Amino acid sequence: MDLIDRYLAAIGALTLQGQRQDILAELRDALMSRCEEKEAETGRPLTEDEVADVLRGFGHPLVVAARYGGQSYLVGPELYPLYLFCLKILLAIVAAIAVVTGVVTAALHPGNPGAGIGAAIGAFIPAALANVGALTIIAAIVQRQKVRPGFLTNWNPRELPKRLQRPVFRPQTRLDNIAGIIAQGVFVLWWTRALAVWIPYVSYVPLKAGQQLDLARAPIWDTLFWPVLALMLASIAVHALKLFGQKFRMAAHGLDLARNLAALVVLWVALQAGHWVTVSGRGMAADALAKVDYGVNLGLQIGLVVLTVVAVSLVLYDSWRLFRDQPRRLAPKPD
Amino acid sequence: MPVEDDLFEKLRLELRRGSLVLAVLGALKVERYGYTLRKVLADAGLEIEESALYPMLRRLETQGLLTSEWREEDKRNKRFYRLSPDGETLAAQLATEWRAINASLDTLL
Repeated sequence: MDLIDRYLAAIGALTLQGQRQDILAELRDALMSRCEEKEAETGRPLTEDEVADVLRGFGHPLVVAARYGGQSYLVGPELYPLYLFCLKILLAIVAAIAVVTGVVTAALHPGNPGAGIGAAIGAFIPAALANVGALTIIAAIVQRQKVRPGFLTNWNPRELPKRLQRPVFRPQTRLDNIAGIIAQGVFVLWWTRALAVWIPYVSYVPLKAGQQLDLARAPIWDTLFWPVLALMLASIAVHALKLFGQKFRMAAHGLDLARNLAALVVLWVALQAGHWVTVSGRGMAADALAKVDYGVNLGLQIGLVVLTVVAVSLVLYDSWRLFRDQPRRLAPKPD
Repeated sequence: MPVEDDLFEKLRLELRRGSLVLAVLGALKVERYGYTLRKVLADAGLEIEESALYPMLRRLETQGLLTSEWREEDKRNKRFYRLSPDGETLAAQLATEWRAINASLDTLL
């Protein structure tokens, strides 16, 4: 009966001291009775393998001991929906921060494509683990209180929102799309130099009489002339498709996603240039011009990084929207 | 489409789990120890794992529904359980509830 002793010792090590002797004595009797029943069936003493089978049938010591321990879950069914809701929000925030971290890192290290991914993963994993752990500990503590959070029981249906609205994205109106077409049309005209709306004006540089400051596009924009033009035309097409309403909704979302993906590539190439505006002037010292050149390009670099973050967010949002809006397969009709 | 076997088994276990406490209370109108209690339940078609039965007996005793006593039988110490007065009252109430649920279900099934 060495196996039974070892089995009971394992359970005893996991049960509370005050109850231990009582529990083990009762379990010993149950196991002995079971073995005697088997011996009566076979007409001989049980082999060690047969005793092991009896013990296996009884359950793992961890499981048996846990059943004596009362509550065997961290977060119960009453609290679990709230726990899961908070967990999703926390992870979404952590993921968003990780994406921004990754994009900014990638933009600041154009020569090292792995830097952004590494930074995003490095930001996500520890933050996610810490947040999940902290939330689980809080939920487990709340679970063990007799008083539940009041808002779960004392909620008022009248306080629910009258209409469920997506809080972040306001639906685009026809006016939005028309304004988008006009704005991007003007940009296309400027980009193709059909319209001279470029005003080389930098307000924070005090110019004296006889001084002149000129800002010109750097050579990278000649390289990216056609890609940028194509992006703008695609944007106009997206707005035009949206004007037709639901009929071209999927096409508009698909083109939007493709445009944003292409924008990411263009931004990536642009960021690698490191110089986007060439500053020149007359009647100004070379170091003053260099300072203006540095300031303007630094501002543009920050602007391009922000645009990249926006483009990544839009790609993620468009991907989710396409997935959400795809036609659901109908359940087969019963025969 | 036929219901999958594991789904049926899961739902069947859920259905039975809720009724086991009542079955144990019912069987302990007569004094029994754990092993004989399990056999009585099994003979009635209500199999229960021993690793679940003994903790349940302890819990019901803590809740004041059972009383227990260690006594020697067949040259071994055994713990005998039976319903306490509170347990008898509660078992009767639960039995009434069970029959009402049964009757309601019969009208639906």
